[in-house]
Amino acid sequence: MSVIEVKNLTIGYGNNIILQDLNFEIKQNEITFLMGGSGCGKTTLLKHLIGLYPPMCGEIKIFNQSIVNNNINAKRKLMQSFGVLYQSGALFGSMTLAENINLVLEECSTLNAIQRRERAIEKLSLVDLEEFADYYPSDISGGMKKRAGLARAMALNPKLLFFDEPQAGLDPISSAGLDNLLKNLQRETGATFVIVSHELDSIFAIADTVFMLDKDSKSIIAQGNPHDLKRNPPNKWVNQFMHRDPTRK
Amino acid sequence: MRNFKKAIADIGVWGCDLKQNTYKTISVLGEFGLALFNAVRNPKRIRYHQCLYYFQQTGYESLPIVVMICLLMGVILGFQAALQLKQFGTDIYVADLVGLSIVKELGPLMVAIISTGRAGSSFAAEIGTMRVNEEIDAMVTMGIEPNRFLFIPRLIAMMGAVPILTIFGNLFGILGGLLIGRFQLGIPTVTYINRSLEVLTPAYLMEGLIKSVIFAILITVIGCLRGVQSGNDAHGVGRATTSSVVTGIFWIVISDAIMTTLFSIGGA
Repeated sequence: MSVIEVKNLTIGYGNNIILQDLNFEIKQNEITFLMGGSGCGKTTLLKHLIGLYPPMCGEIKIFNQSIVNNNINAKRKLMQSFGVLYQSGALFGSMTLAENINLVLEECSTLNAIQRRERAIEKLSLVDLEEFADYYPSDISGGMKKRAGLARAMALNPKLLFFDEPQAGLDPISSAGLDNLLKNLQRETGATFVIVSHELDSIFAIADTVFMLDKDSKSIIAQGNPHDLKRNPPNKWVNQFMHRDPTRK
Repeated sequence: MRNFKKAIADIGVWGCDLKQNTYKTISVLGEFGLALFNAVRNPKRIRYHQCLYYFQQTGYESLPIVVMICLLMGVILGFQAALQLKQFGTDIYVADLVGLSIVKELGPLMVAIISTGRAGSSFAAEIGTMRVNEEIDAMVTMGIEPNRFLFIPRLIAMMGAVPILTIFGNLFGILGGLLIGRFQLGIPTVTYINRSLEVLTPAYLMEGLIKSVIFAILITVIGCLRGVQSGNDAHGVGRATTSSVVTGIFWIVISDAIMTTLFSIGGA
């Protein structure tokens, strides 16, 4: 069963088309990576999928509801059904970690103040940050910010989570730790994870399915299990990418 | 001929940019208006503790600089007035000149300019940085209306803080004039205060306070607008901050001129 359906999607900025005529589905309970070279439109696609930008044409359905052709209230409600972890964590600097999570709960749930605090600590403990609940984002490291952002994204127990380059800027140990955390969380929650990244180590470690985007053809040029794609690349560019080979193109 | 064509093309590009920027500005102002409408319709959803936070930042923390500038403004004004009025033996009118100038014009104006530099620029920088850090995107994807967080608390705080700062500014401006009157001209303190109270009618005080509320709205709208329109990098945030101050002062002076004219016509 698919959680996200994309039909005839064309996206870009102004008159500049970044990706065109995309058709794909993202399956439930899987970790799916959107990968590709720098500037191929991975983050742009993610921002369209989560409804931040309107596409040039085409349709995006999340949980069978359109995020493109919906009124503002329905769209807002649909947005509350998924979580997003931004590249920098996007935590609100004037609030502590617990308050960041509390804000989501205050706005989008009927929990009282005590329940909200409990939920915030529970979510922070999932990412090993319960001791830092009353710290401000400026007082913690980049990796911790991402984990706190993940805790906030999970505040409403969403069944779908989007991640924008979660491993970017992390050292190999932290990056591997985050991969394990994501894998475990996905197993525990049964949620669907959509991750934008070109970190091959992470892709091979945790991805169930990958979609490979290409800057030149402005489309998806490969999809499937990453190990299968590495063994049997459908074209030279995929082969080059999967083997981190700078010479062949 | 080539230069002429290039000039025409440049004008065309400039026109398109102007149209786009105007459209974006109107769109953001419309969103602010909608947020304000929703806040008035549903005041329970206003984040009052954030209002207090910004009130402290824009009001309480601005108080020392406001007091200092307005006191010195009163001293300068009093000193200049004393030099001229002493020649005609009309020293006591220093109280009139300082009191009226400060209460009707310079008090609200100086406080507004200081607030533009402190609060308006800080709003633009803060919101701009939030854009860079994707915090505003995060609000949108949480299903939260950003302007309810970004604009409304700041507006409420400023509408409270700027008039209060203006009252302090007025008091200390008059005190500056009093110091000159007392020590430069030898006017007894009681005489100076009585003369000031005589000349400063409630209508004049209200004129200054009405101006200060309008200035507060302008500073907040411009600061938040520039923040929302800021580019996605440090350069963009810097430009937004500078622009918020320049645009803010420009519109404060324009609106002051309009309001002064209107109050004059109205007989205040």
